[in-house]
Amino acid sequence: MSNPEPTTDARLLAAYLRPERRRLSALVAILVVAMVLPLAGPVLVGRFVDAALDGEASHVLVGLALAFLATTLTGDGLQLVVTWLSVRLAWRVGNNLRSDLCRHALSLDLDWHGDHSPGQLIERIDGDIDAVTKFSSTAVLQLLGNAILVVGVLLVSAFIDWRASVLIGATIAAALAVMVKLRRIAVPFYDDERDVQAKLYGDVEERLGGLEDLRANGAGRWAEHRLQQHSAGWWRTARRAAIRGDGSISLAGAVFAAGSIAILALGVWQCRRGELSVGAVLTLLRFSQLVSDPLWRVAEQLAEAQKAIAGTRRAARLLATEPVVADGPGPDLPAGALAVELRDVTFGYGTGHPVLDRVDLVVPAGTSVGIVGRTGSGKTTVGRLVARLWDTERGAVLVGGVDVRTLRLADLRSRIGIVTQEVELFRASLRDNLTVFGTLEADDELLARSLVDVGLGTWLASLPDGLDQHLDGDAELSAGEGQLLAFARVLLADPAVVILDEASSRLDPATEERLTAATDRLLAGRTSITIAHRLATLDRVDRICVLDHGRVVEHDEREVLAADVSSRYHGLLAAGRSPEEVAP
Amino acid sequence: MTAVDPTAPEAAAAAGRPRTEADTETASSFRFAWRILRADPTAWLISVSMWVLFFCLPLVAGLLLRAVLDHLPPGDGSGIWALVAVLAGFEIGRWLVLLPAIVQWHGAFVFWHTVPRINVMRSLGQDPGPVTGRLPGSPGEAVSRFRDDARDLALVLDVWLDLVAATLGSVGGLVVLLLISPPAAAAMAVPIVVVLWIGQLLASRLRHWRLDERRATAGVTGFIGDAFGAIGAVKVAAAEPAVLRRFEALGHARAAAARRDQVGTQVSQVLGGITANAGLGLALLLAAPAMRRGDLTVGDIGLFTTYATVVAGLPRITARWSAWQRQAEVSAARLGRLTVDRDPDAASAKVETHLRHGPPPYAVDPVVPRAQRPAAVRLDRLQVRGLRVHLDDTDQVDGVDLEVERGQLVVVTGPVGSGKSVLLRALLGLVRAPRGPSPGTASGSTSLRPCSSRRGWPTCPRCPGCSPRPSPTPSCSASTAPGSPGRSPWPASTTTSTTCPTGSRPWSAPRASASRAARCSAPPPLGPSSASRSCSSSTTSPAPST
Repeated sequence: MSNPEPTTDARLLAAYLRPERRRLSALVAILVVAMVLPLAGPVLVGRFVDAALDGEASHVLVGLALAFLATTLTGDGLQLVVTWLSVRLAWRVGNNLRSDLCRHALSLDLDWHGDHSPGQLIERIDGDIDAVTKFSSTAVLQLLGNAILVVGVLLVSAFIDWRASVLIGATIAAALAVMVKLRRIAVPFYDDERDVQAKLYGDVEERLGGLEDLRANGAGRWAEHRLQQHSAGWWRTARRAAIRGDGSISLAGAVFAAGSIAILALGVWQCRRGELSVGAVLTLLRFSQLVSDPLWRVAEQLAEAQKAIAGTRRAARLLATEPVVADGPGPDLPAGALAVELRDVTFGYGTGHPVLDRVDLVVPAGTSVGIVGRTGSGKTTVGRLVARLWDTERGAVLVGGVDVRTLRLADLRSRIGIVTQEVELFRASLRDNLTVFGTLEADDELLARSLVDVGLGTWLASLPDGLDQHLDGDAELSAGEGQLLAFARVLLADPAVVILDEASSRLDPATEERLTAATDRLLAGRTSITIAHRLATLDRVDRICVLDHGRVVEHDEREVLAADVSSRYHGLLAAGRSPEEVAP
Repeated sequence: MTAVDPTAPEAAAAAGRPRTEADTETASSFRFAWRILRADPTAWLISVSMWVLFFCLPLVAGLLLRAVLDHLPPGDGSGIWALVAVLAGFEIGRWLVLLPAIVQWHGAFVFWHTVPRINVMRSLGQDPGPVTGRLPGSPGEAVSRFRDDARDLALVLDVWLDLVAATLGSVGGLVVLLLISPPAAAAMAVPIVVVLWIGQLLASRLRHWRLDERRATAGVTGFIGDAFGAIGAVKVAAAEPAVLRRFEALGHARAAAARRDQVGTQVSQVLGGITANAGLGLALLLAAPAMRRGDLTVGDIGLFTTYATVVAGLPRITARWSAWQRQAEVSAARLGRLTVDRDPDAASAKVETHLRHGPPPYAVDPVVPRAQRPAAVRLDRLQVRGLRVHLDDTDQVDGVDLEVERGQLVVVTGPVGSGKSVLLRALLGLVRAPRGPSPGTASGSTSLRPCSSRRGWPTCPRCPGCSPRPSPTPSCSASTAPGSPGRSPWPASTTTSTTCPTGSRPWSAPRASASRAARCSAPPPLGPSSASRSCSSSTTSPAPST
């Protein structure tokens, strides 16, 4: 496990709290007042009883009762102020942590993302941190407040009877020891519970994402079975965690109850000896209840704390995961079209089985190459390596004569446009989809023009909200239209290198026709790599590269290969075209 | 004018959640919770009795304390130690009751989550009828249905426990107080009434804040799901900074909503403390003359101090209850909308959860060779008459007549967006065809559920990430001729990993696809037949065992 330092969780939280020092100290100041005021309550009740027993005047009793009301209610009011401040603090800290997690997760390799579903990431970035913020917003109040309360109780009760003060202190220490000890035992069990939950939600997310395929293939019952399995796992882990975690509440509560009875016994004993007044006994008992009442809530917070600690630990682990594909020192790429070169490239997806095997391929700046080959021959991988979505195992990929590993990723990728067979659309506005949330800066006119250029002008005009139309799943866009949208995105990005990976495979002939002009415009003056099964797509490329089992078996000018009867390309041309393709 | 205004996080957040208007729909959370409770009443009753015990034992302890204090000087000290011992037993015992109560509760809590989840998953995966309109836009938001909405409803059941126990504790306490000192009872009751009234006034605002917070949270989780679901596109476009900016804007809006919600919730919590203090203070005020007269004893004051806390439990719980109520109503409706008839009752139907021992091993229906199948499912002929599919206010498919004999190969072709896939989905029962006969009327079979369709109706959906097929056009074939691989447009030998390598995430490394492929393919491998149920299977391959 890539977790060299399991203690980073506390340090992580501390690092995020450090910038909030001043707000924290203001909060503590108000908290002190809010927690000291309630101490007057038991003292006043005790005085009230003693005054009544001593037969003092009514107005003294009434005055004591009014004083009780005033101090306790003011204390309650201040608690609200503290809540407001601590919640604000918690959200600031929590959102900072979320942002950093999101930024980091975005930077991680696609290999990593392949192992972590979006559902899991929702848990990591939001669910876990939610536990952290919820804990820190209420726990600041509960834990710190009760610490102040305890100190106050110990001091005031020491004035009444030092033995009682010692007893209260001992009780608190014993109860806390029980809680802390059990807490430590419970943490791995809470980890388990949250892991099971993350799996459950990740699984649900995947099922829902592929629901149509799942239904079409009759796997619905299986999805239900998986849900039942995960739920049963949750049931087991939740109960296991509860026995340990909530067992601490129960045991500590019992310890506290025993302690407050001991104080009562002490009071009874002292009172019968005439050392303490009846009112003082009541005050001491109230004190012991005053520290034990919030215990229930502190313990509740400790359960939350256990979740929060588990969450912070996972956050620390995520932040400690380093991407392999990271920014290089960053020489600037020259302007204009860029040459692409694969130099002795060997690559596999970590499976030991090379997808590309010692591939050499040069695409001079401004020229186009078409890559053909059977499924699994490594065509798509070429495009991925050029955009440096993965790093080569051996050899180098050069763009504009520069090894891509030395470039800043944003510099490289902003110069490369890719359209794949499967277009990934965001459930966001059309504008966001075109500009990828504002990565590309363009005014409305330019956006509209790029859509018109790819033949989506009529479609745009039909949208009630125009560019602000929210794209939600398949409802507004067919697959072909999605692909046209991806073309518009690339047109807008104006890259130096364009990679079309089966980009028109989902278009019908009529739509493809519409796109040809746009494709020509897109490729003009740019370096392009076109990956295609349909050879008609490659009619206008300069060179053809035939891949087979990860090796380049042919690479030459298209006309040369087409004319060479012995070439594989010629063979493909002769055999591959089906009637539909030949037909106009 | 710039196309994107980064200074408008609110607008961005609003754009990210188009479906909020539907959230005004509510369903009775009471009914929902009651139906789930009825599914396993024993568990709930055990929980409630333990909770009642926990809440009501302090009433006994208060009476004992009263007796102890009254035996202090100047009172008669006989038997005081015995009383202290009994009190100790009650106080300590009360906390020991808690442990089994909580462990038991955790099991029940998981159960309350699981019932609606299984019902909804079953309906989504197995019921006929359209599924696209049921799910919220992003998978992330859909997960939030399973996670947050299920939790809201589970919490309603939980609050009921507290409510029953706190009400009994409160009422019991007031009755005892009334017997001892009617003015004190009144003094304690008045703040409760006032606070309950304030809570009622606050309730609608609290609900409103809660809704805002949930909406903003759904926006954030939905965005995470979306952005990371398309991580390849984000990386290729070098859009990481823009995604982060949007994420922060959504988080900012959400923090504002969450702060209001949490502070509001805390207010209702603090109201409980205020009730206790105000009640005790007023009781002391009213008790002052009686104390002087000697009508009330020290023990009575001690009892007041204990009971003030117990009695004040009610407003706090009530505030919690009413805050959950509205959210749970929305959740009940939202879960209901995921089911085929948008019926909240369907989500709370009684269902076997198998929580304690886990579900029985997954059994795949044995593959029956075609010749041995009953005539009703042999599908000799597929007939469709006047099929019309009306989705999103437009006729996607209208007036389609189709007749396919066994062994025929039909190619459906047409321009992008002409309804080819919709037709196929309708034939599979994945969308509902309101006019014309039931989705697909095959001879001998009148109604086809998606799950029953898998044997005779193999399909190749245009599944995300499908590798290019030798077939040039994305045509779809409704072949009813299982067992003719030679004429199939797609090679029957294609394996799961090559036909749908990455689900909807074409950028994932192939090695990750092994798990992800489960989206498209059927259950865990069970011999050679499993490959034939991958999403490319255009034919039903020969049964493995005959």
